[in-house]
Amino acid sequence: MLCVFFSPRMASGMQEKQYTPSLLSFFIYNPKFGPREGEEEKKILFYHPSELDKNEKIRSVGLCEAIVQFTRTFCPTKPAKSLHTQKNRQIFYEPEEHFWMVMVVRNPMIEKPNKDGKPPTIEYQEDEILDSVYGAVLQQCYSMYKLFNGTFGRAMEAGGVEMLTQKLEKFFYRYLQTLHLQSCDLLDVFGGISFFPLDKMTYLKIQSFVNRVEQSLSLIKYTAFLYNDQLIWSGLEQDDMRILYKYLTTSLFPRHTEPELAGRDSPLRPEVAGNLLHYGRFLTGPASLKDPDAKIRFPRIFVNTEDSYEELHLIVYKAMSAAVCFMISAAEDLTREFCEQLDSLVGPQLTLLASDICEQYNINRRISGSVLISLTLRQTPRKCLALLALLSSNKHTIGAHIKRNICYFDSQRSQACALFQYSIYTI
Amino acid sequence: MNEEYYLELRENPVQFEHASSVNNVFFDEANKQVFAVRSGGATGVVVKGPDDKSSVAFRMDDKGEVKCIKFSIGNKILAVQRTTKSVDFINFIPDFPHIEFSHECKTKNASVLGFCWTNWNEIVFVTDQGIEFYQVLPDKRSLKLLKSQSINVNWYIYCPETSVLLLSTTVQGNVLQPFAFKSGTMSKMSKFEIELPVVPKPAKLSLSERDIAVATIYSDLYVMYLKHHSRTTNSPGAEVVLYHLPREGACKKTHVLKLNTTGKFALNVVDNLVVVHHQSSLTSIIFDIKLQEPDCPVNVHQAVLPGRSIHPFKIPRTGPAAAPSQAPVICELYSSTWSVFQPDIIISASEGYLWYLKVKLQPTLNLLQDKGKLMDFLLRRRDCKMVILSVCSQMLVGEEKGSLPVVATVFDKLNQVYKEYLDAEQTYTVAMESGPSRSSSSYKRPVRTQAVIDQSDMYTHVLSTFTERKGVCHKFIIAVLMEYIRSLNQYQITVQHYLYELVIKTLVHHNLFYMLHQFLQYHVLSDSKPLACLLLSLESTYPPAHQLSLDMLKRLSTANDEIVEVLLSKQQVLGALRFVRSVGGHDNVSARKFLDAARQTSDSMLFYTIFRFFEQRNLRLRGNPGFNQGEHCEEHVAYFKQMFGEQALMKPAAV
Repeated sequence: MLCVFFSPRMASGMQEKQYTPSLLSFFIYNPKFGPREGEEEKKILFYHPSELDKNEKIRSVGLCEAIVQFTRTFCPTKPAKSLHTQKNRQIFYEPEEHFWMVMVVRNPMIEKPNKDGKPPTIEYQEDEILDSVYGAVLQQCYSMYKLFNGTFGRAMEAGGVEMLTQKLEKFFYRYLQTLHLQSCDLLDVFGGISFFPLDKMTYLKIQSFVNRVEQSLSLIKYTAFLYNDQLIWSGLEQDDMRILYKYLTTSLFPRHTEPELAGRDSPLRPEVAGNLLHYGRFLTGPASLKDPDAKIRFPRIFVNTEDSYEELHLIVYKAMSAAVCFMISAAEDLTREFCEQLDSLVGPQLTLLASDICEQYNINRRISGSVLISLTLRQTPRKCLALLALLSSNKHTIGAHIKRNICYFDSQRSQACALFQYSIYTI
Repeated sequence: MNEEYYLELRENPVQFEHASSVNNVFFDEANKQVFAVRSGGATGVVVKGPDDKSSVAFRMDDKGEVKCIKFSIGNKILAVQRTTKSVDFINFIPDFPHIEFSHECKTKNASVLGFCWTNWNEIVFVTDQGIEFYQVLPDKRSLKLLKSQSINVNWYIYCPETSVLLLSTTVQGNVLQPFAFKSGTMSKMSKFEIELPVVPKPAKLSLSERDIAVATIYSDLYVMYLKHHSRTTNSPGAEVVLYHLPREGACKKTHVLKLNTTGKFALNVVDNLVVVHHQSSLTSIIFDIKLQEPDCPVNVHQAVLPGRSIHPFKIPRTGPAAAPSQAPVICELYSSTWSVFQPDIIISASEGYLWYLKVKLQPTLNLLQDKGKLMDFLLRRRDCKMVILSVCSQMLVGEEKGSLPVVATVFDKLNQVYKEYLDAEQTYTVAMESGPSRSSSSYKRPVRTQAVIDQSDMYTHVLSTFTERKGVCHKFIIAVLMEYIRSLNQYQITVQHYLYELVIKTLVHHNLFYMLHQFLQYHVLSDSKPLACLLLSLESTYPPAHQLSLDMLKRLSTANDEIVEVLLSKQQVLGALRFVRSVGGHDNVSARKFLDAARQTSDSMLFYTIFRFFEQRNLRLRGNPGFNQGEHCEEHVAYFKQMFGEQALMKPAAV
């Protein structure tokens, strides 16, 4: 994985302190909502940090508004996109007409202690920050909001400013916490989708699977197929898929990896016990189909907001490393029967397909000159590492890599265990 | 109901004078000729064969009642049996005397049961005490004994297709002794016993020749035994038991066809299907012994289709009384006067008709619901192509639209046959190339049967019309096309570009560009020049298609000229030049072409750069930066001077 961190440079002295870029404030406003003096607060739809003084909020919004207005006189279609200052960077973005999103990022800095007890000198590294990266991050914030809530305009139509502010509050309160500004990099600019390398025949099999499921369960409007967090097929258009992919790989999947790696009798694997025919399970929606009281509710997403503006149920279903997203019009009422039908239809096929893909993928790797040995061991961490070291020292082994490790409590042996899944590449 | 008759009597039956007290009718299975012998031949013998060439009429002297009459192969010699002792011969070879001669059977006290021709001049006499194999010498008007075998014979059956003679021996008649004949030689095959439902006590003849038929099914010789229902056994009805009779080795009971009813039956074999006619219900059923994978030594089969009558046959009125207004007479089917002969002949001696039985495939579409089984059935039939294609069309549209797994199964079955043919063709080609001298005899060019449905058939008859059909969900269209491509890939058959074009057109028509993009990304749509050109044409509606097309051309590595043209047409002159240089073709490209393109961009710096590049090339190749006459660049040189001045031209290197 490629990671470009704003990592500390080689420090010359031990006392130097480094600060990574961090989010100072984030706000959304619409200048049309409080045009008269004294009503400025009405313009603000969302402000983080919320505990900031009201006047302070109004002042920063006013500043942004002024800058945008001022720069518009030079180029009416392209007003200012960012404001560079010594201490921070402000990014402006107008996703919908008159709706402005602003993100203020503190520049990374180095604190150099001074001798003689003087206060330390602070060196702001404003060149370390790229407008394109943070501009993309801001746009992503909007896209992610839109994926789950639809456009600002629609919310206004449905329930006025009140509804919009509620939605913004609800979404961004959590979302901003997951924004790791220090690890944003060029990859965020492209919002790229990583595709899974696959041979033609297996790819066609996946096509065939998707088509069959869509035919049998005609409610399904779009399907996306992923393997190992990489995309193989998307029925959605690229822009929508890009943001959905971001959500899946950075938020949904990381929350659900554990059960696969756990042994069959592990407590982390509650769902599989009743169904040994396949490994399929829902990542969204009901935790268990067995529970008759559990509500059948799936997250809703908004796609094609430019033209058809569709609201969809998002069903994410996974078997081993293969994950499928089924998207169904939100107008449809999803019943337990439907979920059961989907589970029984998709589960076995997807399990088979996942092992097919895995096998094919390994064959392809072998062809390219290396052998992948994948082992899942239930061992103590120390033993695992020792084994790994042993295998690594084998002259044919060119590398080893621990994929994931999870610690859990083994009730039978009454001891803590670690579960390792790792790959060893050999010649 | 009309579309449910899957058996019919073929048109243009052979017509002959019906049997009467003065007219005896004989049928020869070998030449498929009907003999109408009037008054023992004195008032004429009319022979009607399947075509006009084999039809003859002649007279012969009435020397008593005719028991059996047959031409040798090719109508060379006529053999007539009138007594139980001898057979008479008449020469029909042109320029030979047309005189009868007679030959008595060799064995004393034996009576001749009949005879069969095995060649134009070889004949077998079957007597109750054995067989005598003769060569007829027409010029000497005598017969030469080639071989004989003494054995007690109850009755016999001869299969002309394979020249195998089957003799019923022993008291019960259920031990069958086959003999095979081949140009002057006679070989005894291993005998076998037919299992009788009840063993009679005391022993008596229990196997009748009416219950035995011999026919070739899927190029194997089978003896078919119609085993009647017996009250003592628990079987619910009669059955047909098939004994496989190989050229060498023992005969084995291999198939049992369950008839599930009782009564009078008759057997035919049409297009490798066993047809069983049932007289009392006036229906026929068919069996395909390959429809079920052989999993045990004896396979039990049920009828493929529900029983149906043969399609009603109308006899047109003839003769002076016939008037156009008169309706044709409907022929009585399953009449008790019918005689059935192998493989596919039905004769009504009383009406004077000989019909060939035919299986119509179209009605099977509605009678056999399981599409996979239907395909298996159709792929083994002779005239199956159009029917198979109509099954494919039918399963894609309308109410009977099949589910994708069914569609996939059908495609897989078709492509399996297609692939087998392609492989055979390939093996043949390789064998031919490696030197016909060595193995020309052992390799025969594979026959392309109608069951080989290739991509162009599917495209023309099924897919192109299907994709243009209104009211079909585009998702289903794409799913079907992808399923077909998947199936072809699975059988490692190279997919033709027109199928890809169909996919692309459908996707483009429904604005599904991102899907198209993904298909190209995974090389599902294989690279080809036509495909790249098609992509190029899509650029106006989907801009990334341009790059996809260029990438494809690059991968093809045989389309460098096209890439340059494409880039130049997009005014990417520098890009084109870089590309040419990267593939090492920059010494040979036309300077004029690039300069033309550079001038069109109205970018003077670009023009300068390109001009300079070619000046340098000229210098390197010819030691002089100037352009040659043949390059036709004068116009550009003038323009360059006008733009940048004379002194900007590169000076020839000082000598």
